Amino acid sequence: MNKKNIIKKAEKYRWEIGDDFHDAVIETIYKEASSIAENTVTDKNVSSTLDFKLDRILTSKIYGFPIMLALLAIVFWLTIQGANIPSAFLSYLLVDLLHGLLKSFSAFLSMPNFIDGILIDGAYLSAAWVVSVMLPPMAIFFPLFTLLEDFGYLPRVAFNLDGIYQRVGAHGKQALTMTMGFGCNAAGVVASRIIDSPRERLIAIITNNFSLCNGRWPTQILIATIFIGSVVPSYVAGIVSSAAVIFIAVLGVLFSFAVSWSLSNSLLKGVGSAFSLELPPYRPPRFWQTIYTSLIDRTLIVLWRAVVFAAPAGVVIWLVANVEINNITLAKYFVDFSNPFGMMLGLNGVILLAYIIAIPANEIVLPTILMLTTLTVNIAGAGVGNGVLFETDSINATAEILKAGGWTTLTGLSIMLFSLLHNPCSTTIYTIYKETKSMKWTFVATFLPILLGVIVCFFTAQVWRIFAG
Amino acid sequence: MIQPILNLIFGITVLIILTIFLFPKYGLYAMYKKSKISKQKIYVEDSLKFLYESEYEKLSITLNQLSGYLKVKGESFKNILHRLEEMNLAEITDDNIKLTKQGSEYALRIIRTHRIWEKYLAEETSIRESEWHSEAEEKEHSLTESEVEEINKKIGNPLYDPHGDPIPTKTGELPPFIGLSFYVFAEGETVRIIHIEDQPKEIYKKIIEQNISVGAVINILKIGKDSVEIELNGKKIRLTSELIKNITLEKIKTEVYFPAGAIPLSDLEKGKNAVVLSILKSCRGQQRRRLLDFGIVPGSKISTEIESLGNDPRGYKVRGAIVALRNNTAKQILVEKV
Repeated sequence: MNKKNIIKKAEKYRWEIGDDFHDAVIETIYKEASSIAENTVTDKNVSSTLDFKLDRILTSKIYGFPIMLALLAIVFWLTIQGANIPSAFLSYLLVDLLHGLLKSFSAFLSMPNFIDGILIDGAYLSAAWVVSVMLPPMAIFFPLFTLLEDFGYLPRVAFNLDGIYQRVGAHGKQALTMTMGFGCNAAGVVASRIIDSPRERLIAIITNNFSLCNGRWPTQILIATIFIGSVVPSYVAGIVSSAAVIFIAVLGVLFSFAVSWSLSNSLLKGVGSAFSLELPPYRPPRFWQTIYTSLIDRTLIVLWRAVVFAAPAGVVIWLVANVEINNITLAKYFVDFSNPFGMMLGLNGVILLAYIIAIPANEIVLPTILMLTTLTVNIAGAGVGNGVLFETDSINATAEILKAGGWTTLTGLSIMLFSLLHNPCSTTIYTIYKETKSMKWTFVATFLPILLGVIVCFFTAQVWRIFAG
Repeated sequence: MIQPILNLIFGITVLIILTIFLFPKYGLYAMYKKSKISKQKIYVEDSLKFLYESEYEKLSITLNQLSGYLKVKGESFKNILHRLEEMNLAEITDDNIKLTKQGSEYALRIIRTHRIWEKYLAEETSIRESEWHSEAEEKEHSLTESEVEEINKKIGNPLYDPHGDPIPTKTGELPPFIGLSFYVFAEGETVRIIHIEDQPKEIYKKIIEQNISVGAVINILKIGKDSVEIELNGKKIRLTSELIKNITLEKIKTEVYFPAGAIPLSDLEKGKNAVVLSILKSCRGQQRRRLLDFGIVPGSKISTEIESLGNDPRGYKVRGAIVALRNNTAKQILVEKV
């Protein structure tokens, strides 16, 4: 047979055999492999009955949900309670003590005011701030979460919740990345790697920002206490303001469902999708190893990225608040310019500017707002000095500054909404780009929440003004 | 008091305008994108495709049939015909219309684009099966040749589109209309016999003796190494490999036939054991590969272990591991209880 004939014959067989012989090959390989295994491998089946019993309880229709909620509540409680002391300590060490030392050192060297401001009050202070607020909760939350993961419990959560996520076109594992997002959105985005279906993974990445992260909880709680708690009688103030914060968090979850649904039916309609979820056997978690890896892989990487972004942003914050043209700071120019637009959203120019320049971390939004407010309305005696980030010693002092800045209950409500619905911090944006390798999806993930925030705040403000005066 | 109301009206107006512009498929932007491809081109290409597919099945087409297919009449239909002749793509004699050689080549390109795009949608995306055709109908007019080749490469030079129709090669070759052999199909599929080779005589006789004839609809029960088991009119027939070589088949686009005793995995009650019979053809691409990766292949033992609230997804034990599958996937796995 000559070459031509062979090729011709091959072509003919190719048409006849069709496309699906790959499947047939795999099937044969599996069949062969399993028959070999059956003949040679003996299975002792020790742990599988225990696994079976655990699965019966943890994925049970009656106990599954309560167990899950209880475990999550414990994790959050441990994080919030456990983080207070180290956070206060770090803040004392880095912000109060070391910052003061650096200042006196630079005064000793008689460094020019400008350089001292940029480096110490700008770069150092905002990086120190981010570390002291961000590190403790993450160092508690991530190891706890990783322990649950290592034990094998988290896939069961995904299994329990998949029914809900299926309806909005997402993957059950999004429940896990979303929960992770309550700790830190950047970590939540990285965690989306566990979703192996391309479409569902993108959905999880884009909607992660709707989980109220660690950096936003304190802002929510403080604002709710000052502006929501104060409009109700004092004996229910505590409950009402906590309810307001939980309402915002739940609203975030609802937004993540709604956005997941609309993305999977519009922009992401065509992207490939395949569901499967392996439920690995339970095993005792490897305690030290887990703590080590979760500290290195999750906490430190995220923290490092945050610091890298926070330091230059600190410089910008300082410059905006200190560079003057015709005796008026840059901040004041922008605040006056953007105030009308801010007011339309129930916010003000100071808040808009704070959200722009404090993009590296949500943790420094509130200190920036306080600093800018005192700067623009000239409150005497508040803060450490011109254009330096600060926090007040008491809630009342904060409330006084904000009220002097013209804040009303509507401003409080609007900033709670806007804090939920605005662009992710720069660390998260960068992480989204790293994970998706796509400008397009990074763009969507960045601007979609802002768009939603502007719409929600705008309509809330108008309706509020019509009905509440 | 007035200002917020005005603002509210303004805000709602902006939202409505945005919706009108950006609404998927029917929004102004989507309409504008669609309108960029000329109507005339679409009609010409659709005619070529229709003529070619008819000629492939050895049917001749009258002008009336073409007009009916395109849903165009009168003056505009005449324009299309004029254009086809002018571009030397088709010849019109009396009432019949036939493709020229050039027309055939053009048509094959369109068909290739259409079928490759359908295959792409089936394998790589999660677009629903009911939408493949209409998506491809639009895409075939706008994809360039190099884009088609790129996609073709990406999905591994497929031979058949997801409906089982052959994809013309780049050089415009198609297998002669001979239909397919048994091995192209999976167990459980329903097919029609379109050709029985009458040489050599003895084998032909053996086939005829089984009451097998051209046009008969059969169910493929089992495909073995050297024999195939089929069901014809409720009767099980075993055919040896030398017989089946001479029979060619055609896919029927109907519901898949379930072999006796087979149930979809999604119907397997909790705690019950079963053996996997097959994964239906409708489960493709990534999802299918994922199942194969888990070792869900014919012959695997499988049992339903756990159910979530609402019974979707459910956890199945296969090869010692528990795998959760959604019901829409589990429906496409046929099992037999043991």
